[in-house]
Amino acid sequence: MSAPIIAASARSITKSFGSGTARIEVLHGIDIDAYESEILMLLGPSGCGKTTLISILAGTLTADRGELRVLGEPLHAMKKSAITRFRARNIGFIFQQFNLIPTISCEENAAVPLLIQGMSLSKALPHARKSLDQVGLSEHMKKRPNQLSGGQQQRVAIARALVHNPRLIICDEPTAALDAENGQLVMEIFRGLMRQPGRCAIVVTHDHRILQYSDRIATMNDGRIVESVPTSKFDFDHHR
Amino acid sequence: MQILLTILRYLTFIVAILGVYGIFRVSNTIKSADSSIPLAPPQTPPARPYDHMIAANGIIESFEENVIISAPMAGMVSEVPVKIGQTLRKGDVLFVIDHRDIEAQAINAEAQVLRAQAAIKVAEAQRVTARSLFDRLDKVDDKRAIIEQEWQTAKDQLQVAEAQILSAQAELQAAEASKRSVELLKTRYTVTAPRDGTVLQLNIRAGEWASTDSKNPALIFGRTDRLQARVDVDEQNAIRIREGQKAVAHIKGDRDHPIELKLEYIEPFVVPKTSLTGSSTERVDTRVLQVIFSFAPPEKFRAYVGQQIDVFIEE
Amino acid sequence: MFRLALKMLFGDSAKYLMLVFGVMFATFLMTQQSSVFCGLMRWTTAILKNAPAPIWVVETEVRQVNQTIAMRDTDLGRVRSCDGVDWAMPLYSGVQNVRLENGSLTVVQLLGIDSTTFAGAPTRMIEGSIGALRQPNAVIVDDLALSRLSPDPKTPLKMGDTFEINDQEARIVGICKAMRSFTGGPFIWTTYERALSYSPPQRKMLSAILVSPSAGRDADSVAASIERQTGLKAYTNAGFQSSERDFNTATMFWYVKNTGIPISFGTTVLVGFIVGVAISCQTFYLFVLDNLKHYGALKAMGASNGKLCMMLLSQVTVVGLVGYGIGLALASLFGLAAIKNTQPPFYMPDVIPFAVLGVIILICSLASFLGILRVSLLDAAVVFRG
Repeated sequence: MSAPIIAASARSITKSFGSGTARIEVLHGIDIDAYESEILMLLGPSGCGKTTLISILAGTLTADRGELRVLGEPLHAMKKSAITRFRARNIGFIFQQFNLIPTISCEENAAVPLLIQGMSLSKALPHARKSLDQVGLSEHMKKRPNQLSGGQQQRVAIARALVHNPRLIICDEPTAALDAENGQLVMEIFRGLMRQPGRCAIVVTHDHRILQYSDRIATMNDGRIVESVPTSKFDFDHHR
Repeated sequence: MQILLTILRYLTFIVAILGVYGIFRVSNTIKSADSSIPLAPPQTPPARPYDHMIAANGIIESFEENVIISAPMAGMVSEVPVKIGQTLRKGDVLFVIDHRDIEAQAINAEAQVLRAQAAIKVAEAQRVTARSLFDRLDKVDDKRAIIEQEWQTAKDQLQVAEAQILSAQAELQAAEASKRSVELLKTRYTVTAPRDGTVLQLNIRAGEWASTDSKNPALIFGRTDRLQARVDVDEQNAIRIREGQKAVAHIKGDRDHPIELKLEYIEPFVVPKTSLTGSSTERVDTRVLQVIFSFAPPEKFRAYVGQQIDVFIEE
Repeated sequence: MFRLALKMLFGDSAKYLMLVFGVMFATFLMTQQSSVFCGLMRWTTAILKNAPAPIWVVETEVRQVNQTIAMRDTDLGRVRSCDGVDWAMPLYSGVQNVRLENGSLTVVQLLGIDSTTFAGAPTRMIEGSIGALRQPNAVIVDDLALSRLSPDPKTPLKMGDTFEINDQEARIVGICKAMRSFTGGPFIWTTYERALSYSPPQRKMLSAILVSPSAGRDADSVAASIERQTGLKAYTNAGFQSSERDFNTATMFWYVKNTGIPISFGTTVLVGFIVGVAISCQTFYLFVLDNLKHYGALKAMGASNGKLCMMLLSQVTVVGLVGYGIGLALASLFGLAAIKNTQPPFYMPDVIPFAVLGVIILICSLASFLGILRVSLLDAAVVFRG
């Protein structure tokens, strides 16, 4: 196996919120790399800055200081509009609350990233259907999200995250709103779809049951990366 | 439920489109009900005869004005020999007022004359008697045969008889004079035409009481072979009136028959206008200059005295 | 993106209907109220429409058509004498009492017109002819008078029926359609002379002189020349705002200045606007807030502010147009009913729907502005925080 290609790399990232005396530094100089073809999971207690870190990695939040290269692009030096375009093209999102639009059908939901890129709905729908097919929801395509179970909804979200073939996928607690069985199923499918070259997924999670689907686990505490270990060496039992 | 809401949603589109159509309908309905102002009234008014003109209105009179004839004294009308519209010559009897009281006086006067004539005859007879007595005494040569006094008495009686004749003659003259005066008075009760003309209005009939009130004249009389128009010109337009201006008139209610007018004279005295609008109460509005025009009676139709006319005077 | 926006909007029909309702309500209220106001203002000029003439000459002090200051009879001659006057006819106009058979009194608008030309006669006869006015005691009435002057409202008067104006008999020889008067009394036409005898005698009785300019002269210049030559006031009668001498305009402005009508209607129109703004802005803003999470997600997924704005604008445009259309539908139903019934007053100049559209666009812009502001300020990272 050749040397892994860096998909995203952060150097000395700091971020603080508020101002004056109420100013709180959340990230104190983070260094982290994510490689292509791996699922990187971020672990850590609440308030350790996980969410802030992935927001910065996803380009939805700008860091105060530090360098950020995602898929070779220097995000720290790019304009906001350019970052937005970059996001639309290259990043897929999976949210904790799924964030599917309830008033449109699943296939339309799945087509949203293509629509954002400017594709027409009629052109985008076949891609969306294919993507839904990949997550095993071909018979639910016309339904609205609220007619589906939580697991199915998250699968729609996965289909949406992957429909435009992004190279970086950001997942925020993908299984937090699901029961164990559905969580396993969703991660199974996700893992299966990640077996494509060039894709990188960064997953923030609390859910220890899904750590087995990771390739590498980074642990955060108090705004710092305290540990980063490949999963083969990871002691699941210890963390459980 | 979902289907119902979907139908409702499509319904909103349809109603919205109908709404735009509906408001066009409303707009059109309003526009069609919006009647434009007609330039001409239902009956076309007479065409404006002159570019620059003075408009006025007036009233038709008989030429040289109407003669309003009232009874010379109050009394019952005994005889009206004329008919309305009748053409008369000067001196023709118009009407006669009952004059039986004068008639009675005439009879009385006649009697007085006869009596006076009889009295003359009596006096003459007496003179004859007196003269024969005196002559008889006077012819006696022997003056002693008669008493001086007798002769003297006879002479006096003759003189008295002479005087009585004179007195009776004077009585007769007085009686005849009173008879003539009664006869003269009688003619006053007969009203005759003051000049040639036509009876325009006849307000009395035989047997009616005639009053001397000039507001209710017994008879209006005047010429109709030619008519005149008394035209009231607003005093503010008075300075625009000049001798020799042309004018046409339209009888009120007519528009097709203009009448050519000839200016006769301008009354030099400006008078308060009396309203011609037919209201019973006379209202003084303003002062008007009265201009008199004359015209020949139109041939195609009749113009009547007293009709209102609209007059247009060229300026 | 556009279709996505619409699908988001239509997805929740109840919310969509709420949004549409706000705009509809504002549209209806503003269109209907301003039309009723225009209708009412038009009613004030009913005499001008019912006794039509290109020029109205009135006393110098007259400011509006319902005000009658009599002129002298000879003024008619003076006006006729003016250059450019084709014809000039007298008009009597006054409010008179009519005693009904059951003893009650009602007021009517009596119009006395020239008996030769009938200048000022009604233009839309239903029954009878204008020439019949030459019969004794003849009057022409409008259709409102039939029921208003009848002792029993269930059996309206008909041709040949009689009633009394100031204790003098009047016989109906014609029925016409006429615009309602501001005072609510029916219109009665008769000849000028008879109108004078119906009215209590006064020193001067000539209310107005109806004039037509001669061929080739325009009403404005003739009116000016009449004013110059006679010192009387000459108004034209060609419709609202047709010229600065227009009697309709003068009358309406007089009512606007001297009565509380415009204020009360203005308030209602304003209420319509405010309610429209309040309901529309609030519901749309709530709609935006409800979907804020999704806008956040879209923003995170790379939708630019511009694209989100476009989505909001397309949503608000559809809501605005549909609401406007439905509001117009309601207003036109109201309008058609009012026109058919001749009550309440309803007159809609073409400018009203367009002006209301403008106001609706304003309301929608305001509503979408709030939403756009909220969405623009939205931090895309918000989706990661629970």
